[in-house]
Amino acid sequence: MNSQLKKGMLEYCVLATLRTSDSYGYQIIKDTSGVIDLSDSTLYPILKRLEKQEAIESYSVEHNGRLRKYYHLTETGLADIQGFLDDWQQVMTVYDYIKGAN
Amino acid sequence: MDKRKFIKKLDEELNFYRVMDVDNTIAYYDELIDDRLEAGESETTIFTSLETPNQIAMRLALIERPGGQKKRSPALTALIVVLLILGSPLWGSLALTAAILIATGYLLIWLVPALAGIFFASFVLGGVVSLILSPVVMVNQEFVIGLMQFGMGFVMIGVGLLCGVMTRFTAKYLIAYSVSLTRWIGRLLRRKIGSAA
Repeated sequence: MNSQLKKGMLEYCVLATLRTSDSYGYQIIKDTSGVIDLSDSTLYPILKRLEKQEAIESYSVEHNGRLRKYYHLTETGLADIQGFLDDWQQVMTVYDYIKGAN
Repeated sequence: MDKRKFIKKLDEELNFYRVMDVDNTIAYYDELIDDRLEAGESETTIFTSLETPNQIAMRLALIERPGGQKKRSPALTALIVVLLILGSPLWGSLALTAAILIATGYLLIWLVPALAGIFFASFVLGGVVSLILSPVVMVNQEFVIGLMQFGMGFVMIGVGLLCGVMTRFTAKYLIAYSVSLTRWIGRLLRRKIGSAA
């Protein structure tokens, strides 16, 4: 996949993972592994950015004597996913046009 | 490489590249490594797949400062140098005051274990000398005085040992506190110098 296209989609994949339930770093990477290649180092800046945009919120939970940071999808995040899906309809129209022209 | 070394190196690299939010970045990798270890992955697999601390810090620094640092013109550099020299009586004295204040802070912090250490040495030494010399006093002077000196020797050694324990514990915590304080000051200075440069 084109790197720029992938970069744009990574954030939405992370948001989509959080749509079903709150999750933490390692679990997010595992959940997205079958869909898109998301490395440990790539995820951290994405989470930071999404938190800054208030698309997600974080809280800590004690797990085996240590703290684990969980991320929760906010209303803004949910709206972002919907915005992406709406935009994608337009992309699909262009895709169909390009495909049909070949 | 093991987790401790990785985290230590990451801390150094993040500070070197003046990455913001060092603590959160370290907490993220710390948690991630723990989770992967918990899932049964070996340290070798984890540290082979992870980027190196240098790569992580560089990547984050690049995200925070995409264009990198802009090159300053030689004229502006010369102007800054002149201003720094002219302003040295002001900033020099302020910097000296800050340095003295920091040094005083460290001195005050370390006064407790230092005093406890001195008490430890003097009480133990005094106690031992008192114990050794008490038979001489018993024979040459009065037996009761010698016996009292013998008892006092034990008391002094006891108090000395308590001071020793206090020195050990206070020093242990103060070392950790001093290290984190020094790192914080270093980080603060690097940020200030970095934003001014």
